[in-house]
Amino acid sequence: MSEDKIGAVLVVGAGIAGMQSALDLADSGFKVYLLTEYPSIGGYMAKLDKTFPTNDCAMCIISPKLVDVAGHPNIELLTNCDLLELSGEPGSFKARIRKRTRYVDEEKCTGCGSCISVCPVEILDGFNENLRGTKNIFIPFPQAVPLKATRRKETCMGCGLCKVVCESGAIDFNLTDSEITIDIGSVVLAPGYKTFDPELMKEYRYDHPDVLRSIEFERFLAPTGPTGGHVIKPSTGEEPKSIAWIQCVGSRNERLDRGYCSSVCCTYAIKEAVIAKEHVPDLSCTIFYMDMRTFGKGFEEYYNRAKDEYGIEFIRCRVPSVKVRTDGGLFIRYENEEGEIEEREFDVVVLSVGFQPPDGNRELARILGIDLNKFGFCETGEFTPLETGREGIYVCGAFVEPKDIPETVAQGSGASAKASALISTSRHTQVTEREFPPERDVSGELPRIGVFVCHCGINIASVVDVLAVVEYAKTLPGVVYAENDLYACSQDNQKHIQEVIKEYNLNRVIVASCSPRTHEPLFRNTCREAGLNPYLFEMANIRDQCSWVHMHEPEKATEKAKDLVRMAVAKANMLQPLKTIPIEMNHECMVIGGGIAGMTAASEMTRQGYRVYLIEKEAELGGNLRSIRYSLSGEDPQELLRRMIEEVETNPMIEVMKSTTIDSIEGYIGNFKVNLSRNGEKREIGCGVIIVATGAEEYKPKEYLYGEDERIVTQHEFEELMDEGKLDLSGKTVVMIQCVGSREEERTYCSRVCCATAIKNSIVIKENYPDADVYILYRDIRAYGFKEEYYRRARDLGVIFIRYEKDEKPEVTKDGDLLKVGVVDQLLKEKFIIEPDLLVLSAATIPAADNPRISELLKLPLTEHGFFLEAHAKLRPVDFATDGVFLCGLAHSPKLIGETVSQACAAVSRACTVLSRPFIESEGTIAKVNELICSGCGVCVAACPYEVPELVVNERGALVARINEAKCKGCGVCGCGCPSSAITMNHFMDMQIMAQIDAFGAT
Amino acid sequence: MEVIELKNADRTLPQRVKEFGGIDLLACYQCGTCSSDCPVGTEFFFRIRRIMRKAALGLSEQVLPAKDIWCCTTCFTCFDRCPQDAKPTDVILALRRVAAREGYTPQASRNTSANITKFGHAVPSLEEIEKKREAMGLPARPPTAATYPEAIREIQLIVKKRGIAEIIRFNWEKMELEG
Amino acid sequence: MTSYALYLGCIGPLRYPDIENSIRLTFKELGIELVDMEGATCCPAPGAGFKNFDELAALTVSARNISIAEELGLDVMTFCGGCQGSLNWANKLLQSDPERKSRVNEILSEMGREYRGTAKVKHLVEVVYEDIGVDRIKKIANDRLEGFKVAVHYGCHVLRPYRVEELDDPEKPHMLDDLVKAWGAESLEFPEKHTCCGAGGGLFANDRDLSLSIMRKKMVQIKELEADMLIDICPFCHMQFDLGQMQLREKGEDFSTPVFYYNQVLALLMGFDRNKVAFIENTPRDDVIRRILATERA
Repeated sequence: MSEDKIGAVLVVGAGIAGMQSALDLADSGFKVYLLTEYPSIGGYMAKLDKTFPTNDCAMCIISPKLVDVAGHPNIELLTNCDLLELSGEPGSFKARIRKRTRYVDEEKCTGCGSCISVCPVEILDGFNENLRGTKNIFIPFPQAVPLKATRRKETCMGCGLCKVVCESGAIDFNLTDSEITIDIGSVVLAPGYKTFDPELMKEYRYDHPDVLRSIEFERFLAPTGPTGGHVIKPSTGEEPKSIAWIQCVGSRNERLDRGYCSSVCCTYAIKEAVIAKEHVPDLSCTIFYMDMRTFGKGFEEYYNRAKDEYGIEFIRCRVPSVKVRTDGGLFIRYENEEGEIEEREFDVVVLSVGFQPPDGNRELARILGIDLNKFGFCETGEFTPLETGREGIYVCGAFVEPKDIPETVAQGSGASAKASALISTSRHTQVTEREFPPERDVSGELPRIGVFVCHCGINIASVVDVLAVVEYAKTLPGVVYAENDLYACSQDNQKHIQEVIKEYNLNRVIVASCSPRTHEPLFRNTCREAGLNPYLFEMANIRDQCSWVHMHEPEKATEKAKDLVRMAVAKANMLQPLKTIPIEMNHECMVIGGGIAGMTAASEMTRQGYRVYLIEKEAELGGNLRSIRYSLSGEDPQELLRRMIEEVETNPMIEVMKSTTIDSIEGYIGNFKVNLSRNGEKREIGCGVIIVATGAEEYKPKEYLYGEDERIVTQHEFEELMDEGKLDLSGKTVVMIQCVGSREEERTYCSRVCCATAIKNSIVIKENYPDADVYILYRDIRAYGFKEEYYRRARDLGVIFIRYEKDEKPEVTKDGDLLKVGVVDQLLKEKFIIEPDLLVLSAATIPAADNPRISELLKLPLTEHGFFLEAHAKLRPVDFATDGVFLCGLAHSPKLIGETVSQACAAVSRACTVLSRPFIESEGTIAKVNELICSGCGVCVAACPYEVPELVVNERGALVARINEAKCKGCGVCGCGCPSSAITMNHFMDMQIMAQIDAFGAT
Repeated sequence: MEVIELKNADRTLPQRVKEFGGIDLLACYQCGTCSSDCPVGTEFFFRIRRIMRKAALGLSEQVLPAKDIWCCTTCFTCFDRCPQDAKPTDVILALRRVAAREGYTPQASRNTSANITKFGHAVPSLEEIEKKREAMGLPARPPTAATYPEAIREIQLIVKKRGIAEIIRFNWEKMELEG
Repeated sequence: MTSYALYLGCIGPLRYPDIENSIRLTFKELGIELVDMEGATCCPAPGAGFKNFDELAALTVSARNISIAEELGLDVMTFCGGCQGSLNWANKLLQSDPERKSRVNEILSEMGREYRGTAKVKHLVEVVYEDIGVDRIKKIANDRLEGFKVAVHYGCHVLRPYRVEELDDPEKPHMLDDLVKAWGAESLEFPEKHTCCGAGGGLFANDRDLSLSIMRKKMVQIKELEADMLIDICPFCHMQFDLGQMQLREKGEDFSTPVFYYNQVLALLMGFDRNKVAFIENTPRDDVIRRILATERA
């Protein structure tokens, strides 16, 4: 093994997993080659309209990532490329790559689109799922990265019109494919997936124009799609009155060799139905399903809202076929819950197609020397979901197992941690520092404001008269330039804005578009790259706060948009440049919690080269893992536990502190100070980042006579008893009840792990005691992903599954010495009485009792259920809004061991984007105290939720409040509270706010 | 609503169904595909999904004496569509075999098997048809068991070897069904 | 010359021998030799006979039938869906399961027979489609039935289970449609097109009313589309439609779509006398036969 590890990583696949992975690596000091076979990055997520459960617009939340990747100095994009060969060894690989030519010189192409408009040849538009045509020279979607045209040779007429109109002379039909070889230390695989082809199930009549695949329907919903975001019945072009979704098309199907569950279809169908109803309010939406698998964080509540608020109809029956009437209309025949055969007509039928492994999976496996599982996905271990079995090659996302976006993003980060651990000694050796041009001094200049009003496709433009707003903006004081943009956030538009800044010598920039929460950093960066201080930028939200909420009142919405722009201009006239300062930081990490999440995070962190303090409040490490004795795959959880404990206790870079509690935490990213107690002894520790891995607990049920009989136990208790040989179940009857304490009024969420646990334990019972009778009483079986196979195994072993309803729960009674369980089988509508010798309750996973205290100490928000609330449900699952603090494991939400390991690795990767920096930059938008006016009253000290202001005696001997620039979050509470008006909020100064209010009042 | 003590359920039923050909009975996860497109289902409350369920639960008294399992036309639509490949048609046939051995067989099925035992054919040859055959220039009887009595004897050998006569209660002396 | 061992079954020869004759006459004319299987018996009737009581008995009876063809050195051609289902199921099963095969042969040896598994079992529709071919039918028919609306009925056992029959996609079959379109006729599409006729599994005799109501579902749509005729490829389905419509008429319901086995119409087009190929009926066909014969002959 060569000593010199190469500080670069090849990421294969540029969907959300690949992009997340690439960004983490690039932000942690590694050079990244991001390779995709497609002409643009973005993957499937770029095709989605909205994402569940927040109904965020997919393109909106992904476009900042697209632009980040595009502009990152440490990421080299290899689009339209194929991996041909990988040779070498871990730490020092060579990758041979074919660059397929676009027949367009990427240096010269500006993505202007002139060539596209003159091309006479139409081809099927793959990005739009072949629902419409595109030109033979094309850009896949408006926010594509890189924004370069690509020409398809096979179908080109050779007319050359594109060359004629190209002003940059970028098009050259004589360009050829080329090959390059790159040197890298490790590889991250993120090739994603493709969807099931319904041609394999002709009974669903995909040949009919009104039968669509879900991904096609998604394109209909999307504003950049073939119908401009209008929901239509394809055969007539008119709005449909009724739509049916058919679940499990190509999933959970042993007959078609696809006996796994694609995990996301239940929730995505609900999303499509909800969004469709928003487009067409009196639309009737029906979802035909077998089990409703809304197991993710926030998904069960999403399901409930769909039923209660949106009136989506759910019918529990798998659809056997789609039928066509003689007049061409569609109908579905099904057995309803009462057992009657019903027929319903629908205008449109959407097939919820499952996930398949991506094209080229076998070739990729061959090139990389890795194994695929029997379905063609990457073979990984139950506890090692990011490892391919070959050192140096790591994997993430849907290629491991079908999964949703938050899981994918976490795995993308997790794979980065794995990939960079191997080469951590070569951090910073292959990177380029981001260099900004010198900042122009605008002091003394009169404001020269540029206003960019965005269409956001049709999101804004379909309601607000954008051109009218532009014209209006030109009349406002200080405005010297105004224009409209189709997508202000696209990569090419950033360049355009920078050109306009230079050409018109702007010193203030306003973008009237969407939410600053997602896009302010992007535009501030654009200004900075043009030599403008980033705080000379202001946003007017004319989408979320205007076009989206006033969808049916376009005139008033346009007036409001003008008001918002006028207010933004008023403030912009008053904006000042703000400085940030570098702050020294501590490069150590503290992990709170010594379960599998905490131990994994600690171990992985040391492999990155950083020291770790691992704090555990109990006397033993291990957390909930101590109770898990069995696994579905047969791997030994206790062996994992022993190995991890040994690893952290013998690792010289980890200081393990058991029986230790936290008294207080102060500080900020890069400089946290934690006060700990152990057995009365106090200690203070400093660290740069904190990872919260405080776990969760098993609910101790109040229902089903738990606690009143030793034959009634929880799943954890069962595993312990079984493993310790305390149960003889030969010839006995075991009943398991699912959803105990979950999916209820008081606790609406799904605890996610219980179905897999019950199935696992039922298999353990049957394998040891084949003559035992095992009954599992359930509401929905949520054996998602490859766990579906174990559901089948349990059935084959004779485990009986009985479905009950939420409002007709099983009854547990004692009749003398007999335990009796009464349950109404919802299929047969008959009541069964079972006399169990053992009753196992699948109790909910509830937040750790400690969470409120930790939340208080660290100022971290909790969800309504008491788990920790991450920064963004989809794209920042392991980050907190508070910088420098990260989250993983059960503290986030209930999950299985493999999922916990992925998140722990993800938290490490995210933390390394901080620790790898030499110093921290403070925020510009903070509070400033004018010490001349401050009376030292202390109101700000009391008011600040982050405990930032301190009362000190200054050089003049006055008692004044002092605000640490590095700690201040800029929330504004002190500024509002100060009775002397001694505190100014940078970027939200009184005169700026007053100017906005006055502008609002003006006509 | 019926209340059933599962401890009284017939544990042997799923095993017997498997032995008699319904090998994948337990694969069923009650999705409803089979019941929904069954040609019989729209005309009569014949629901394969429920029959699979009851068989797996061992509810013999509900399944074996009922006419339901004899209503299946063996069209194999459910068989081809079942996502878990539970082979429902095979389960129905297996249940018929179990039910028959407990004395539950509809008259018509017994008749057909009796005919095959007597004539080598599911239906006997009729004089009026024999005349029509001759009118077309065909032999009055086809060159099958209708013409070759040895063929009938060979069928009867198979019947004897497999105990069919006992199951359908066929009397060898009278060469007729008992009742 | 292509030759097949002709397996007759029961309903064909013993209730609708005009179907049998239409096949014999047309195939002879088209150059396919059909050799009789002497001593063949019931297949046995799937779902109605032995298969309801004992799988091995049904397998043995089927294997015995197939062994007759094996002795002739020929593949089997059936023209009934039920017989096809029965024999092909047994054939495929025994070809791949040595244990069952030896148990079957144990019984067959006592009657001096042996099943080897060397023959194929094909249904007439496959033979017409592959060996005769759509083009040849087109030449014979010369579009004479242009304007005729035909409801085709494949029956269940010619297509399903797919893993046994492996012939045409059960969800979207085309063979019989192509063969009917080759006459110039229109093959109608309707939701119940591929639904079972309701006769199988013993239901025909077990519960006549239920069996008829299943058939009625199809006939309602066929009648609504004003089909000129129903074309089937199974004598049992044929009997269900032919006899069944009569039974419905006796109850006062008006169902009288003429029913033909494919080869019966083919025979008429080839110039054969209807009294040799299409005269046994309970639902009158005189009008439509007249119309067929009135069309121009090539």
